[in-house]
Amino acid sequence: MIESVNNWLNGLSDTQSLVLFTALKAVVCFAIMMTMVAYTVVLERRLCAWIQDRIGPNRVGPFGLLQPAADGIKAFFKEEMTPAHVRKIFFTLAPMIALIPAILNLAVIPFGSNLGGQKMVLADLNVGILYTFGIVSLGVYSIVLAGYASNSKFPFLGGIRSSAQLISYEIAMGMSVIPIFLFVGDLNLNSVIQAQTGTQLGFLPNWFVIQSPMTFLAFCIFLVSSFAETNRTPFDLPEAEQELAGGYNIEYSAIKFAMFFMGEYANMILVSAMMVTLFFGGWTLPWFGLDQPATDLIHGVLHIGIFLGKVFLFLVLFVWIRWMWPRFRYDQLMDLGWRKFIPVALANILVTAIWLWWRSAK
Amino acid sequence: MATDILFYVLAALTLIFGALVVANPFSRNPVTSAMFLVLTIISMAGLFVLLHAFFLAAVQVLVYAGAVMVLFLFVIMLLDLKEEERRKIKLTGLVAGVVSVGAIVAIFVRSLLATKPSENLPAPTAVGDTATLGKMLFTNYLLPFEIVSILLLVAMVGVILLSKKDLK
Amino acid sequence: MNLSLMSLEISVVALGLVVLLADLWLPAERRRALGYVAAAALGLLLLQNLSGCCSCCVAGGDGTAFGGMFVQDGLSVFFKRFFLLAGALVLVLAVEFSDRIATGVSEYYSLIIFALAGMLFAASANDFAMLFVSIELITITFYILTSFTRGKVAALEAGVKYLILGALSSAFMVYGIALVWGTTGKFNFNELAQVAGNFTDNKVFLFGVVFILAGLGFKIAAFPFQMWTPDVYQGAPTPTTAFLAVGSKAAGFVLLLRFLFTAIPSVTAHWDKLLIIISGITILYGNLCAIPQRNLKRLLGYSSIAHAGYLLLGVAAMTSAGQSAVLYYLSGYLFTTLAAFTVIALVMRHLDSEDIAGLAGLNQRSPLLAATLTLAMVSLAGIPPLAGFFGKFLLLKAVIEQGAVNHGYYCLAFTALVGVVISLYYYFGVIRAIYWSKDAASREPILISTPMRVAIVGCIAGIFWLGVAPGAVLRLAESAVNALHCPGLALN
Repeated sequence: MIESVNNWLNGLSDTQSLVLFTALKAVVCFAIMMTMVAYTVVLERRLCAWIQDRIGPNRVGPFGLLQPAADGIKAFFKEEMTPAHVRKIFFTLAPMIALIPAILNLAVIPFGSNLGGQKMVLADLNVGILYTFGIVSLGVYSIVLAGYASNSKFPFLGGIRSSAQLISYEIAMGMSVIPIFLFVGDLNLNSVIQAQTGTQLGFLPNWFVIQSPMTFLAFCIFLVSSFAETNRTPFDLPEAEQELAGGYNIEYSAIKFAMFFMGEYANMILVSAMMVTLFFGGWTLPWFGLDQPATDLIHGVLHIGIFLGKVFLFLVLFVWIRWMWPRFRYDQLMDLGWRKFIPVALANILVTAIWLWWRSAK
Repeated sequence: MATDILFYVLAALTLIFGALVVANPFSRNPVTSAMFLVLTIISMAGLFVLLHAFFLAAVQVLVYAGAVMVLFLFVIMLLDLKEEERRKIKLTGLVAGVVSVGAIVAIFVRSLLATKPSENLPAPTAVGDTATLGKMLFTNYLLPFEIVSILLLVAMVGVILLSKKDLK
Repeated sequence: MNLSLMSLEISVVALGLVVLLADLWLPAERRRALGYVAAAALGLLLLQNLSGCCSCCVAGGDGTAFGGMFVQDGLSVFFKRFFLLAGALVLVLAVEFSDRIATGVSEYYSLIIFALAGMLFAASANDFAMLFVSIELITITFYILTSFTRGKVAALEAGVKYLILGALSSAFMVYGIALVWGTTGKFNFNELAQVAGNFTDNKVFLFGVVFILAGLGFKIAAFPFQMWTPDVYQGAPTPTTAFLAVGSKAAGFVLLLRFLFTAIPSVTAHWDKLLIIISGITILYGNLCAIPQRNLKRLLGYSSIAHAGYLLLGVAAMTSAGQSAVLYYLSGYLFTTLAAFTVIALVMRHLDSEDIAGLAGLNQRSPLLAATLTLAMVSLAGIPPLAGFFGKFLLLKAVIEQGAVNHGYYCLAFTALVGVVISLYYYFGVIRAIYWSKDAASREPILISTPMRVAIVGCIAGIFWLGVAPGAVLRLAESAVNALHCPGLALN
């Protein structure tokens, strides 16, 4: 059986095998992503309960692990309300757009080294990071359109708030990573990971987060901006319940609401993956030779495991902060973005460039 | 061959979306126009990809689709759209527009048909990658690049002056 | 890389930044005088340029920088002095105007200086990239300068009209540049000149050239692209209008000259008919439309269209005599137009509209201003012995000399004469309003500040000087246009 599959695979032309494996990787990625989205929700609810000294959802399945399935079924079968005053086309379009950017961006994230001779990245683009930012920047349309299409005041205010917020923090986010690429000298995400292999001081990982003060600063800005970009507390102003009664998604119900909900978590996973790749060495661990591309199946799987583990830690951080921090005021948010982060990020680029110039001159 | 087909598909999409921005038979809503402009920009980015100009493609999406058009939407949403939807198209304006655009297109198509691609041109080299582009910008085109930075400063000063709420 | 060639541009940009920053520390009541400081600085730069160049111009002051993109030759030096002088005079005028600007006086000064920097770069542009960015720097700065008095609806309307039409013309120009580049693969004017001869029957290339000409035609307000002029001239603050009329138009002409005669001389040689027709129609359109105007700035807007037509005479002649006549005429136009706008700014200070009736009784209120405006009008009309006369004479001479080649040139010369006769009517309408109108609204004498007085006297001196003793400037202009015809020097 396995033999015949192998023979068939070997018989494929290059193009055919490329198409086949890319499709396969895409499907698996998508499946893993969706599962992670589902279980991040459970994680959020359980952690939140724990923080608030409650128990949380524990009825469906063992330890409540089948809760996402129950939620999903509920969302699908719930009656779908479309209010009469909305602009139908955009109203339907908005939740769909919410999910798309996060999924598209999976394509360039290297989630492992090799598995059976296949590179564990869907598209090894030489402008990887620009692609990521380009797609992320399209995500804002879902919220803007939702706010506009709902045609009532709270969603509208939420949409306006969020488009301003997302655009502002995109700038800070984009500028914060430039020092990384100055260090690496390449926009390809695999090269970024390559630059983080090995150790410093004998045992510490050579990850960008602790490689130099500039990259640490870059990480701090990126981390905070990614909270703003995913609309998570302390920057969840577009959906501030107390002021906007829910914000841009008030008029949505059932599966359309669920899609916004999933979009938020998908985006969280995506920015976590980006942070892992950019600042925490991606699929590598500096010890036991785990920072070299895998040659056998076990190491290949292990690398994917390492990557997912790191992403998981970030997801916990996201959830943890949400239940620990109060929300910023809108003017504080804008002030932080425009008058603190953007100047600091610019200065960081300058300092890094000078430092690299000085180092190369020496 | 595949790239040829992709080119025609993307070019057709760009043109169709572009036409829908200005003349949409189904909707007079400016937001629809803006969204079609976003699609135009994205299909144009696809054309850049076919030219191996990945950097330009990414920046096109990042800057135009991701930032500029969102601000457009922002402004459109804050305006009174009803009036725009009610506005009647003036027949003279329509005829003048169609005739002038048609004339330009006709002349251009005729001149395209009358011209054979010249052979003595150097084959286009792929300079789309970021490093080459950066080098060009900071060596050969440094001066225009710096002038553009003055231009941006001027634009910024102007926007603040013209839009600040309290005159003082 | 020869940065010392650009010291002038760099200093002007630095001056703009200093003025912008000075606003932070200067108390509000002293910001007004910042304009005098800036004008003085520009004057110093001009003096330094005048004195420096006598020694270095001969001994290799010319050259190129950035791979031939930026060129310093006789033509660019001539225009740079022209722009510096215009900028300094406009700044003095802007100080006079500053109490009518509700917001950002020092920004107004610094934007004028940035527009000036764009013009300086335009004077040296020898490459499509430079041509485009310098034009955009000028134009975008003018969008802002035009609607600077944003409390006035007319200024906003002018700004929006200028913005929309300007953006459209820029789009045409970029498209043209793309087509020219796509067919020839050249960006640099000198390199383009070497291959342009092979493309004279390439339709796509010619299509691109036409589009670039459309963009430049917008800048100089030549016939099919002139419709923005009257509204923008009328609505914009007076110093902006003055700078637009002088600086922006001259920048358009220097780029037009370089493009037509350095980049594509072999194509231009076939296009005499097109240039003749455009020039003729522009003259007639400007002059005929100016007749019924009652608003002085609008009238000058139409007259500036007519003057673009006169200037195109020299371009259409396609001889170095014609081109030097263009330069000479622009010099005269600088003094005349700035004098006229200065008077308008001073006289119409308390009036909402710049109606010609507001000039009534000017000769009693301020004989100096009355005389200045009269001289300006007489010079614009082209009556000896003032600058405008000699400029028109040179232009017509250049055109008639070409008449043997193509009889169209005789028709063009005749058209220009008809235009001059028409223009006499409305220019004298203005003079009549100054001296012979009965019902003056106000008889208060007009106070003129000392720097303003210096500027006005300077303009009058310039008008007379260029009319009576044309030798020096004419020689400069002649040596300047040599640069257009021997671009070999620019290749290093």
